[in-house]
Amino acid sequence: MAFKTIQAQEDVAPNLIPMIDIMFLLLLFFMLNADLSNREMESITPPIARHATKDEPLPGSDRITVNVHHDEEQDPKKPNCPAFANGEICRNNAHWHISMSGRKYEYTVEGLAKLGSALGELGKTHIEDPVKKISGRPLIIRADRTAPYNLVQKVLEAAMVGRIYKVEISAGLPKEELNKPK
Amino acid sequence: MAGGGNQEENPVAINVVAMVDIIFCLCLFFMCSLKFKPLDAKFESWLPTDVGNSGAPKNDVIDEIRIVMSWDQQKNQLQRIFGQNNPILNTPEGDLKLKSLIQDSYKTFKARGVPNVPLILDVGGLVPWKFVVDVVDIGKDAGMQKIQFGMGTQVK
Repeated sequence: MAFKTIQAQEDVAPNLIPMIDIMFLLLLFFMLNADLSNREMESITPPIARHATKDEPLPGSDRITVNVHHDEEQDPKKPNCPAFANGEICRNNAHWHISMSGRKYEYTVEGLAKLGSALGELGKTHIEDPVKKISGRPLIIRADRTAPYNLVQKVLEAAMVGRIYKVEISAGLPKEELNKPK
Repeated sequence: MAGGGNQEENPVAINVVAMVDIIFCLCLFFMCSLKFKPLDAKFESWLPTDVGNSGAPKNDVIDEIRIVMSWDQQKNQLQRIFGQNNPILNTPEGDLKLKSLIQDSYKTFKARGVPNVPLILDVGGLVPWKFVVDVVDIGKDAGMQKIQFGMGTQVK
């Protein structure tokens, strides 16, 4: 009886092309999802508010974001501010910052005057009332839940100096709101 | 897409391993930098555009609902006063009491023909922001439409 000898193919080369295709698609997905606008948002823990409206900024509203945030902890095991790391209230003003578009403004008269003039310049790009020179640009204040109110008040004052009146206060919705159908 | 093609058409073999390495690294980078957008919310708190320093109020009865919030540094706790002298504890029961006081007050003002009465929050500088937002939230829950932040003039 004649047997057919089977020759094992030794040089098996995996076809990389479908994998490269998939990798490209994945890369494209993650690149498009990387929201660059988040760079103006500092890391904060917002206060929870049950009756706040869901934040959906209108396209083209050109909203200004001002953050009131604490120093970032470099090492979670050895925090610079143990009170803040434990979720308590940090009373060291030097640890708190007001920042806008990645730029920090000191909590001094000069720093706050700079913030006011910067907001004034930004507000001028969309004047709603030319007579009173009032800006139509909205401004959202994103403050950490443990931030002292005086910092938020200074941002409100700077908004008044910059003639911006459309002020919004950022808050977080409770977890149960996440599961609610639209 | 990357495309196939047989080897006879493309006699020059390209080593794609290096490219795959780089794409893997890029993929890893963007995966790690991906932040899921948190569910943000907001309150609108428009600043006044036409009032400001307008002197003493003309009415004998001031049309406002005022809550004073301050921080007791010795006891390290929040103090809330509704109206003239009605202390409200910072507890869930206190929150309910505050809501009912705001609602009752708002009803009274509406009955007097002042539906746009503002809820004014007079907050001390040391009060943590979360307590302020809590009261804003209670005010919204009580049906208040106009919530304002009080600001004092600096003493020279």
